[in-house]
Amino acid sequence: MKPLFTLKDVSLYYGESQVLKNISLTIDKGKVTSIIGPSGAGKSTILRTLNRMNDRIPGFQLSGEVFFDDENLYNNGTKVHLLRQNVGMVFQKPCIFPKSIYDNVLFGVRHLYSRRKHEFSQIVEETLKAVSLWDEVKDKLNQSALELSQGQQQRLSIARALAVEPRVLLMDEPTSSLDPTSTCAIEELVGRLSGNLTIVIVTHKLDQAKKIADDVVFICEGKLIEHGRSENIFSNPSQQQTKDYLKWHLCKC
Amino acid sequence: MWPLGRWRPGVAFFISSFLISISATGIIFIFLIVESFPIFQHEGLGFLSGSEWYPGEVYGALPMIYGTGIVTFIAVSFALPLALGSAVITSEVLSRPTRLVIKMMMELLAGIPGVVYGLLGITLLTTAVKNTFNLIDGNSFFTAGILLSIMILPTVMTLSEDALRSVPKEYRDQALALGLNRSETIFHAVLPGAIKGIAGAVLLGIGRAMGETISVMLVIGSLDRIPQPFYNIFTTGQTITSKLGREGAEALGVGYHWNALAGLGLILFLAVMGITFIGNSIVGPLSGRGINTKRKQKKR
Repeated sequence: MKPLFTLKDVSLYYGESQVLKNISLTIDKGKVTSIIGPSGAGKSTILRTLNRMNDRIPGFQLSGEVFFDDENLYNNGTKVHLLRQNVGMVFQKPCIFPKSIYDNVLFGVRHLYSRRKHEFSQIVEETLKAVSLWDEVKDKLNQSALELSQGQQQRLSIARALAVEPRVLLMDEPTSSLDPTSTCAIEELVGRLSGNLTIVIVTHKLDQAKKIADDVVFICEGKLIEHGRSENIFSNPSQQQTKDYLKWHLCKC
Repeated sequence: MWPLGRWRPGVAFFISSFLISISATGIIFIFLIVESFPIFQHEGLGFLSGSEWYPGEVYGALPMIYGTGIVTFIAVSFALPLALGSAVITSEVLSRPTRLVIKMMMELLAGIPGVVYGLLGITLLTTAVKNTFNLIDGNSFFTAGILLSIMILPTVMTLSEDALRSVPKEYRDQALALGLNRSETIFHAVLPGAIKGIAGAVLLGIGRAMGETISVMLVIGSLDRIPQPFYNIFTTGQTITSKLGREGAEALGVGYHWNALAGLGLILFLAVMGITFIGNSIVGPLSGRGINTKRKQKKR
């Protein structure tokens, strides 16, 4: 099967400092790919390369090629906002607008597909059901979303991303600020959504990667150390650095 | 022994400073009420509704109230769109170094004394207005309004820009990540978050426009009248401040003439205070959050 994302020899700089070093990588359609590695390794940077969220950081510079299907993302012709409608993103901390729950779910849809107004309430119900939030909030859709718990807010922001109907969902440590129950809910959700949706998730929790990922990418100091099937990497890693990291949570690269 | 004894001079200093500052406002307010009281006794509500003003005979403040109102309205109508547009560009589009230069210039402009603007107004603006609109006299409500809009523009712009900057970066990222383009992001994620701060900036600008004296005095023509028809803003007129500026010294502090001027002062005081109060109560809590956000951004 043809991969969905293909990175060819990607290096990324912010001013003088090089954050990604010659990364070549493919990400498969319909799978859950987890990017693991120590803090500051460049995990989030790789993720944000896939929907061009790094572009506006001062000093940003990228060499190499990133393909989404057959489209070279860093060509001049790429319409970035169209790309982001296909490649949704969930951030580490849920960013909730000071609006009602209903309006938060529709935040993207309302501005992208305003002609589909009659479908709005259906979209809200479907996406909130998809993230298992519907039963908790169905009676208070018009209340401020800021009153929800952190875990609910994170699920709400996933619903908001899904409402735009992306083909890919990028998740940047989506559970790092959540309690264990909400974390489990989101891990279960990721499993359920994959298949139709390609998911790339950055995490520093190895047990989480083990639980939910089909493929694992191990990054250290901006370099790709190992990439493979989850069960292979966790049971029988081929690189010494990966072994060290899995055992000690440290790496010398 | 009194354990805090050595702190007492310090405490006394703070308390007395506090009391002096607070009572200054109170004293001005009481002074205006006391000094204007006779004119309200003499003219009754006619002081507010009358349009004739002849010292020694009759005192009607309506032309001045009208003048202050219309001039402020013109000033805000011109300044607001310009200030808002440039604030959005400065905050959302320009690079950091350019932004700092612009901000510095705006804050510099905001600090230029009114009389300097007034001189520019006399030489350049009145002539320009006269020629453009084919008027006999370039001094008019319109001229004063335009001059005031130039004066309040930097204040409104720089405070609106602060309000836009204080909108958390996450809102922008989130909107962009959902596939909104730059302008949609500004309209739907950034502006709604800054609307309170912008409203406060506008109110503070209104307060300044209403209170500005010397530059208005130099370009308004100083005739106490309400134009016919009332929206004819290309005629000479009078505002509360220009009236006070012209006649304050003549009235010598006694008599109904003086009381009437104090009455004008009271009207202006209440109006500006009301607007500043509303402005501050809107901006206050928001600017606190702005500082926090800035700190967070520095850390990155």
